[in-house]
Amino acid sequence: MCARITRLDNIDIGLFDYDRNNTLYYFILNADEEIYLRYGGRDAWAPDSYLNLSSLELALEQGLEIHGLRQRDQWKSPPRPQALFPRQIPLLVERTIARNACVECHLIGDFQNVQREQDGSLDKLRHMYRSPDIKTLGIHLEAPKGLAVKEVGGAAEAAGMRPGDRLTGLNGRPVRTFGDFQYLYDKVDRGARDLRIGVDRNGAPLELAVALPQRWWWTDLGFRQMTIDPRVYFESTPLAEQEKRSLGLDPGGFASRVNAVDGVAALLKNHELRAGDIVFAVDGVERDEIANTPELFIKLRKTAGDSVTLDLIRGGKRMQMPLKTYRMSFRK
Amino acid sequence: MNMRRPALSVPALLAGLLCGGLAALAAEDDRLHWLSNYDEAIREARRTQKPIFLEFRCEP
Repeated sequence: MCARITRLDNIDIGLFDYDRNNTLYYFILNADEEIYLRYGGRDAWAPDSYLNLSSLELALEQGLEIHGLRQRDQWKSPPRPQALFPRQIPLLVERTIARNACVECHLIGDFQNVQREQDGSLDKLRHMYRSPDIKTLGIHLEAPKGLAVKEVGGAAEAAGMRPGDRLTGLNGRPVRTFGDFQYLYDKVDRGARDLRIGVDRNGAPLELAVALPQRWWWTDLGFRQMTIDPRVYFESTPLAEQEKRSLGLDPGGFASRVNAVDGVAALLKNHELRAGDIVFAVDGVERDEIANTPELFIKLRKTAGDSVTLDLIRGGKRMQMPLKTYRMSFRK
Repeated sequence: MNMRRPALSVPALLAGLLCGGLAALAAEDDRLHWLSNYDEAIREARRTQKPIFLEFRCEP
């Protein structure tokens, strides 16, 4: 049984919860709406980094396998999440349903976040930085083989993960596909210090305790159509503590050297930063408990559309510069 | 999870979800039918006792 859903007006988006910035996303379920597994997931690099026919075959086989187990009462469904329908999101109703416009996946994600922003319930680490990249943990998968680990580094290697391992679980929950894994990974509390990853190593089950690195949840938001993201159109690299001291800057601050400026900044008149500038304060603030760069500070602490004043060093001279963040508009 | 390469093709597996049974796979291989109504898919899955392969995507 194959079904393709392109409008989500009457779909329980609480049950079919996923990162709405996926271009394609699949579920295998039964007539009782018990979800066996997910197939989907992406990274900032490409929408299909983890999508291919080989891993789809594996997912389909497993879907059929679980269905057989379910029919023999040998598989138990996890608890059904709380129902949520698009008509329960007032902004979505106002901007799409009431206008008989298409309720698209990405619009649901965008309007949910704008609604949260208005309600004061927006948690940027969770709602804006969705779908953390497992490569930040040092896990590189051989995508055609599903959850087979190809290369390991960083925190995953330190925890004992090896190439050839196959991911089987996250914090005690089983995973069958990358979609399963990324969805559960996205659910990890952003303040968590570690997590447990189950692996199969030559047929033997192991559970590895992985220490989460700082800002493990960070991802490149560039591909997302999110109106809550204050776009700044520059990238910078944090200065080493010694360089900050030599410049008389706060050694614990987020002073960073601009390494790239998007041409969009000039078109939109956002700012006049240049590569090589050292930005050391935003509206007079030089340090933050989370942000390690000025652009991350702005994204976390400011609202899209806000104007700020940067303190920076250019050619050895200190100066101030205005920066106006850009609020994306809805695509439709 | 079995990491060997499956013997069945993706269309064949999808056809398996659609109508079930190896004997029917070849016949259905090129005739996948995608329902566009979720409630209809649920009813059909209940009637046939088959699982649902559910795709979410924007209008092509």
